[in-house]
Amino acid sequence: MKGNKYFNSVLSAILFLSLFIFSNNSLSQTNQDGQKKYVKLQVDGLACQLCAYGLEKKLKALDGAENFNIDFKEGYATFDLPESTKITKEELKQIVSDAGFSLKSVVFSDEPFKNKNEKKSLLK
Amino acid sequence: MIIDNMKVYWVLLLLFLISFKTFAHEPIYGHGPHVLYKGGFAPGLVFNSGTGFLETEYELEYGLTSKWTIGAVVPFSNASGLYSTEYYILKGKYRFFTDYEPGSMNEIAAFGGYQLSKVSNGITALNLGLTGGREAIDWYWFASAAYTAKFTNAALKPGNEINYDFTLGYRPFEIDYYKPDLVIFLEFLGKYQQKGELNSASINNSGGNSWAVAPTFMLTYRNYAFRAGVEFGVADNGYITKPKTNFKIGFEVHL
Repeated sequence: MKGNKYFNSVLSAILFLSLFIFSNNSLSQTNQDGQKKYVKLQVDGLACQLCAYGLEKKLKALDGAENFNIDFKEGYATFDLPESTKITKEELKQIVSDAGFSLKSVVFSDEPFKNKNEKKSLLK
Repeated sequence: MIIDNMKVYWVLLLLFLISFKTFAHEPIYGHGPHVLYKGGFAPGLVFNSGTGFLETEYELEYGLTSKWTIGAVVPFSNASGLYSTEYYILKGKYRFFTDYEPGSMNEIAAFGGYQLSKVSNGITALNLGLTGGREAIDWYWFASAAYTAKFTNAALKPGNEINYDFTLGYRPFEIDYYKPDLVIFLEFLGKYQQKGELNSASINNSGGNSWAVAPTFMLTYRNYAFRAGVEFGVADNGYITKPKTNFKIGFEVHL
């Protein structure tokens, strides 16, 4: 009886883990298939995780936004969007302002950002 | 006579416990100018304990705008012998100055609070203050000063207070958005208390100054924060005593 309980618990844990891994893999697959644009925001005032979370939350509310990251040292926030999601610099400025920060510039790219010297269309 | 003595005792205990509660994301004993993002919620829980007392504060804050945060605190304490709540606090903070730089932010904010007593002869208090400071990826400083006016229907009215604090903070490890982040603080806390009144007459043997120091820290992981520290009374003069050694532990989440 005790063995059965133990077996059931292990089985449930494996099932739960499998579902979790499967759902994450499916999500990644979907994203890999779609066309993406990569966005890099130069944001002044980013100094800690807890305050930066507000920016993540607001940017993630954009349709399809994912892979959010922050480089505190360089003062950049980066994330991906589906190509179909339309967003202007003014809208991004408002989002950054609502999060309590100041937007300096926006860069859109067709490729993921790897270094700070990318030659892309800079919207000032 | 015994009843009067009891009243004095309770008022003194309440006095000890009155300190307008800190906002999330700032020193755990002192104050800081940071506010929540627009539409953000921050529920939190703070335990404060020392010799003979335990207080638990349930907090909820809301970012009304990107500059204005409001909140409420329901503290439970064993001050009256029972573990219960004797007052509620409504508070707000408005950040009216920001100077943004890459990786840092200088800010100044006004804050205030209203303590509403549940008991008929309890102390209602109004607290107004200013706080400013700098948050950066390497170090922090915060400073604040606040005036607390107290009101009561009881014969014994405690003296109003000026509380002030100065905090230095240092981040020992480089910050990474997806790794736990530690900031250590050293908080310096001071209090000036005016003389109390008994039946509208000033009490000579009341009022004074006290000072304390508190090494504290804030450990965050994305939107979760854990803060803790110990306060040590350093000196006092007049007729108030320095704070007894006590500790605070706080958990909060930004939603």
